[in-house]
Amino acid sequence: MTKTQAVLLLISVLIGFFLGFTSPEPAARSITTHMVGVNGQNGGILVRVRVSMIPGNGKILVNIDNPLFITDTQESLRTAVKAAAEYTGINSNDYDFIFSVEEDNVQIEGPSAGASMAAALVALIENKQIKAHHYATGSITENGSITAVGSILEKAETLSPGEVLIVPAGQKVGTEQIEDCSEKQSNNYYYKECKIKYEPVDVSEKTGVKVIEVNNLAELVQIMLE
Amino acid sequence: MTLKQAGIILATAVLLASFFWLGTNVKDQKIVIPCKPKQPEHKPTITEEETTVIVNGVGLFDNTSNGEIVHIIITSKRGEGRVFADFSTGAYVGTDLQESILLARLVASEYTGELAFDKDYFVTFDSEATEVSGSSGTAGIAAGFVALAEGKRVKQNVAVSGFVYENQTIGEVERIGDKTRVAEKAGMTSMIIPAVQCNKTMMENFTIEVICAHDLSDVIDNLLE
Repeated sequence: MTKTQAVLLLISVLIGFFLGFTSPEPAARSITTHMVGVNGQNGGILVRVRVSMIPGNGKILVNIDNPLFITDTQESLRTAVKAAAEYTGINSNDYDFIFSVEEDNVQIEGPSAGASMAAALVALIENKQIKAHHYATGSITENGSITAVGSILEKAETLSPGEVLIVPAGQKVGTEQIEDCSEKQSNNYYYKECKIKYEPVDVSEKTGVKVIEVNNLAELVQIMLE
Repeated sequence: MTLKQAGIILATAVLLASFFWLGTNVKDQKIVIPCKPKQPEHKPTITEEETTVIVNGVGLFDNTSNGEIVHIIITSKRGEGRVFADFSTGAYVGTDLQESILLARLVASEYTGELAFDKDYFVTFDSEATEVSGSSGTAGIAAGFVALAEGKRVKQNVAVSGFVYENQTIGEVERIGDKTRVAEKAGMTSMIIPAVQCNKTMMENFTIEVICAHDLSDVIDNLLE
């Protein structure tokens, strides 16, 4: 190799790297996931959420045009970001995280979206996809532990048989509300007396949904992402 | 393939091609590269254009007359007309305040003709409190939206507290005296309050200038430069 060739080769490599490292950051990356929740009538509801991340400084920006967000949900979003950053090793202060709920007339409350939001963030950060027909419910802590939430049976009932619902450990068996009513007579009046019992129920058997328990974000990601 | 990867590959390929061409044709000849006139430096725009205004609202801590100036930071950038609240600060944003932001956007949109639907708006509350809530920031937020739409600046020595109705009149808020005192202690020179709460006590008890706003245009006239 001549001196000229060597110099040009060096220059080409340097310019290539320079262009690579000074190009604009990639545009916003987005992924669609779901919150599995319950509505005011204690029925299940599946809410589509668009999650995006862009270069920024650690903001958690939530579209408030449709739903309003109760403070415990705000807390769970903050925790989800911290857990996903911890899991993937990124500095969350280098990005802004944007959440847009794509449903009208819902009010978002409670911490149960934390796990699914954390999984979506991991998918974004690691450029992975969420498996079709896989949903999650669970609260999340900063160290990635997934903890119990309510209404597992109602949430499973929003899904179709064969779909997958990932739940916190120990929640594969939910509780079912059973109303036991009987007619009674008092003097000349007849009335109905109802007792409500809560009985354990295997959510998978009851709904046909495949229910999988996880302890932490690592296990959730293993099952939910591809 | 990302833009970054394409840039690296393209640049490397072009230069390697010239390297081989020069290597086989020029051999040991001396290469003379003619000088070109220096071009003015032009940096490509790598971030989306965004505009930010900061409005001074006033917040009171629970069950005390103490409070703080809450900096309401509103940013617009290219988007789809959506409104985002920033949940990453120390303070949770109450649902009533989320509703106030949406009402303020609506009122500002009617005041200006319309807010740009090709922009998104981001609202951050810079506060020491654990939660910011209530509707007394509505008038200030609406004025902030107007400032963004009209390209005006917000005076940083003026604080504002007031509700705004859809017909743009300014409605009363709780504990306006305490809020005005907080603004005074914080070094503000003027405090815009609802005209319905302007009375002799309010006008005489403070060293700060108290401005009485009947409607949104009064707020804008006194808050924007």
